[in-house]
Parts: sequence; structure tokens; C-alpha cells
Amino acid sequence: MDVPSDADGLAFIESHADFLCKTVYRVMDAAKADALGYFFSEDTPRESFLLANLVRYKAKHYFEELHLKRCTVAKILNNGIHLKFPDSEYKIWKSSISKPNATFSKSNYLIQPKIEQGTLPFQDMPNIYPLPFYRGEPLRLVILWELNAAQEIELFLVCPKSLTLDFAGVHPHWKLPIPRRTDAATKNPENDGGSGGSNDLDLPLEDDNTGKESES
Amino acid sequence: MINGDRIKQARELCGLTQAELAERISINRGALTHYEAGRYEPPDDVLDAIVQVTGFPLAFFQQEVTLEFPQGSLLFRARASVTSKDKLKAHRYGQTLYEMIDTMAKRFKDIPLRLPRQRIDPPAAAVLTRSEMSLSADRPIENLVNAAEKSGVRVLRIPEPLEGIDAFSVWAGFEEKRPVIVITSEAPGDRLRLSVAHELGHLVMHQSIRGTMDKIEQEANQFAAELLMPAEQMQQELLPPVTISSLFELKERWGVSIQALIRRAYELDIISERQYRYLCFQIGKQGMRTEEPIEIPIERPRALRQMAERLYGNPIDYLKMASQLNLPPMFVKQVVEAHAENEPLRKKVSPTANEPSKEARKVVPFARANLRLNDEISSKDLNKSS
Repeated sequence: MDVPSDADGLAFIESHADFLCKTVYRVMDAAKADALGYFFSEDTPRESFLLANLVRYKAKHYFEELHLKRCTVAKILNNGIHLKFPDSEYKIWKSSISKPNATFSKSNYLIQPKIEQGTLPFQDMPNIYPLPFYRGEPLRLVILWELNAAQEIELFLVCPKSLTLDFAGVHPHWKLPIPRRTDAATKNPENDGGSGGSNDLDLPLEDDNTGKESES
Repeated sequence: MINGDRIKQARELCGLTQAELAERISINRGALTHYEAGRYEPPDDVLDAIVQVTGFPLAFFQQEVTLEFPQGSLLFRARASVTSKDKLKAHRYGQTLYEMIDTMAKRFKDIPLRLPRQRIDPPAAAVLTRSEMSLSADRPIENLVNAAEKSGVRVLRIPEPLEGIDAFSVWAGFEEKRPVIVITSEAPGDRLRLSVAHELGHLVMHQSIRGTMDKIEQEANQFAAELLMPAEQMQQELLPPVTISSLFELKERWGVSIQALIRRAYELDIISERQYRYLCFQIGKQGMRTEEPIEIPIERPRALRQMAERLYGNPIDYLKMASQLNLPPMFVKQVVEAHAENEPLRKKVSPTANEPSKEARKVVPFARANLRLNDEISSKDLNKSS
């Protein structure tokens, strides 16, 4: 049984860094902010099940809004996000660390025959990770998200071995943290005004660029 | 066709009550009420008198009101001491200045709006706002007004300071709403920055009014504190023992008042309540409650004047501008001169020993408003929005 190694996973993360380390984080951060905003504006305590569902719902919406090139956001039941590109597919699930797992409620499970799975990223890997009681397409790599203690989104690339006993999580062969993109973090933001620049705004004219008004 | 709303607008801009204007144009107040409500058109002689008294040209009164300019934060910002007349005047100034800039802005390419609108808890909203506005997470904002303008917020400054109101904000326009901050006072630079940050808080968090006015104001204050004095940095720079003299340098660096820094130190548990009270007592004793040492430059908005310079030359042809905008030339001149000329931004603040290295500076990633709708996000885009 060929199980992709950590090195395979790291290479995959590296080769898809733009998407995994930037875009997915951006979307998930936005979704998290929206979801937390709900609890704040409603002045209600955070309920992890609802929070996770809101994050998933908002993130799916943002992925749709992005209109990523050649990407389809699959319409699936409430168990994660499924992005289909021509040469790869991404499944993004809530990690089981923060209980309960919002991507997999019991009632949902009863009406869902299976955890929806598509073809996953490693195109050349055989389908080798069947889950207990699961008769659909085999599970391969997934992206798990969770909120850490500082309420920040963390993403992991996971090579799943089986479902946990409560069916709410995934036992992995390996689980690699997906780093946040860091190169932008070291660049000077453009709007700090600390560079001694001028207060002029970037205001090009609509109708000409001569800087002179046409007689009207 | 005379627009009654315009009569009311001109009257309120002149700071006149209905009774006062009616008396000056020698009609009874009831008639003026009818004219303002649009029930009757004023006869020519009355119209001439209104033109004479208010100074607004006839064309002004013939214009439709095409922009929605609600009361915005005036509803909950102004202090109890503000007269309703001043509130009306502030609002009318805001409306008129917004119409001016909106008319001119149609000739320019729009500055993309980079301001989140999310009702989340104030510190998180402030962090998100810094990120959206391409401001670093941990450095002082050199010129908040300019940064707001460069993020698509229309910042306007009325030429006639009003007592008791420093600034107010609204989302204006019809379909595509624009965030607008109207500065209404000659307050010192540090206080003005806090007021502008406070108004940004309203724009970001308070699309709809939920909770009491006190709570809304408190949230905007929390937002302003976090925006101008990020907690993480304050924890590093407001080192005990906090004394008034130790705050001078921080005041200059962060562009906020010493009193605001003391308050922030207390909120962040850097000083105890007893220390807080003691420092407040010292502030009062040294006469610094109304006038602090170290002057922070007053930040003035630039966009309106820059547009005027592009469209009407530099020096500005005020007559031409007034004629095209259907406003009195003197009014136009005063408004333009209340805005900043082209000048360098506030002097660069030298880094202190506490300032983290360039590599260590974090840029808070992302916010929703910058999600592009047409493509995958390139690294260039991300840099812009981070």
C-alpha cells in the first residue's frame, strides 16, 4: 500500500503554495471574521457547532465569489467545501479538534449515505484509503481547518487513514501544517505614509490624462 | 422649478432658523414653511430675496437633490451640549461638501474602497481595518486622514468650526454608498486623529444601530484605541513605570494624546486603577487636560482640493468652479482652503529601540472586501491588500 510520505505532502504544499498558503487562508480568515461577527452582533455566546457551520457556509460563499479560474465550487451537503479544478480537487473539512465537528452532525449523517468525496489532488496515487462503513470513492488527501486558542485559523494537509470512532474526525497517516504565506508580511504596507511621501491621491482623470480640464 | 429642499439647505447652511430667514426676506414663517416643503413655489421677488440673503445662486435652488446623505453618526456622536442648529449646520455642510466632491469625482477614476463593513468586536474590527487599508499591524499611522482617503473614504472638512462636534460620518450616496467622514472642528491634531479613528469605527461596525447609543459610542472608542494604539505594540512600548514624562515620546510617535495613552495603559492592565487615577490627577494639576505639550500636526483631507486643482487649475479658478457647482464663489473658496494643499505627509517618526525589525513586522492578512471577483489572487494583489 503506497502511502504518500511527509515529503510528498510538503512538496505538494510547496507546489500549491499560492493557493493553499494564501488564497485558502484569506478566505477562511474572512469566513471566520464573519462568523465571529455574527456572535458579536447577536450578542450571543459562541457555540462551536454553529461557529463551524457559519465558517463553512461563509467560506463556500467567498470561494464562489472569487470566481477562481477553471474552478467549480461543488454543491455538496453540509460536510465541507469541495473545490474542483481541472487537474486537482480540494476537500476542506473542519478538524475534529474543536468539538463538536460541525461538518458531520449525527442527524446529517443519518440522511447522508456517505461522506462525499471526489478525486483528490494526487492524480497518480491509487485509491487506497477506504474508510470504515464507507462504500463510495476512497478518501485521499484533505485539508483540515481549525481555530487555535488565539482564534486564528490553522490549516493542515492530511493524509487520512480512517475515520475516528465517533465518525467526527480523521485518523491521519500524516498531518502537515500549511504555513501562512509569509513573504507579504515582510513587505512595507503601501499606505502607512511613513516614507515621507506626499499627501496627493492617485486620481487620474476619466476622460484624459493631461491634467487639464476640457472646456465644458 | 424651485426645489424646496434647497431653500432649506441654504438656510441651514447659513445657520438661520425659519423665523430668522422669513424675517430677513420679509415674509411670514408659514409661507417659508410651505416653500421649503415644496407645497408652493416662491414668487420671483421672494426668490430674489432668498438669493440675496443666503448668497446662493438661483441655479442652486433649481437643482434636484440626487444624493442621499443621512444623519449618520451625528445621531449618536454629538455631545449633549451641541445645539440642534449646529447639528443641522454640520449635516448641511456635510451634504453640500459631499455633493461638491461627488460632482467633481465623476471626472476621475474612482479610488477603490478598502474599508471593511463588519460588526465584529471592536479590536478585531480595528485589526481588520488596518489590514484592509494596507497599514501595518504594529506601526503608528502617520497620517490617518490621508490613509483613509487613499482607502476610498471621502474625508471632508468644513470651513467653519462648530462647537461640540469634532467629526461625524455617514455612508452616503444612493446605490453605491461611499463612506464619508466630515471634520467639523479645529481640535488639536491628536484629538482629531482620535475622532477620525472613532468615525472609522462607526463606518466599519455600525451600519445598523444595535444596542444603546452608549454601547455604540463605547465600541467606536475601543475601535479607535486599537486602531491608533495597537494593544500588542502598547504592551511592548508602554513599559512600567509609566510616567507622564515617559509618555511624551510615545505621544509624538503614535500621534495620540498623553491622556489617551494613559487610558490605554489602564485598559490594557499595564497600570493599576490607582496609578491611572494618580496620572489623571497629575494631568489636571499640570494644566494638561485642555492643552498638552508636544503639538501633533492637524491632518487635513486632500482629495477635494486636489480634484479642484486638477479641474480648475492651480491657482484655482474659483469663479469657474463656483459657477459649475452652482455655489457661491466665496463658499467654494472657503471650502477648498479648508483642505490640504499638496504637502509631505507628517514627518517620518524615527524608530525607537522597541520597534521590531522589518522582518518581524506582521501584516494582518486579508479581509473580505478585497476578495477579487475575477481571478485567482496574485501575489501583487495580496501585497496590496495585506
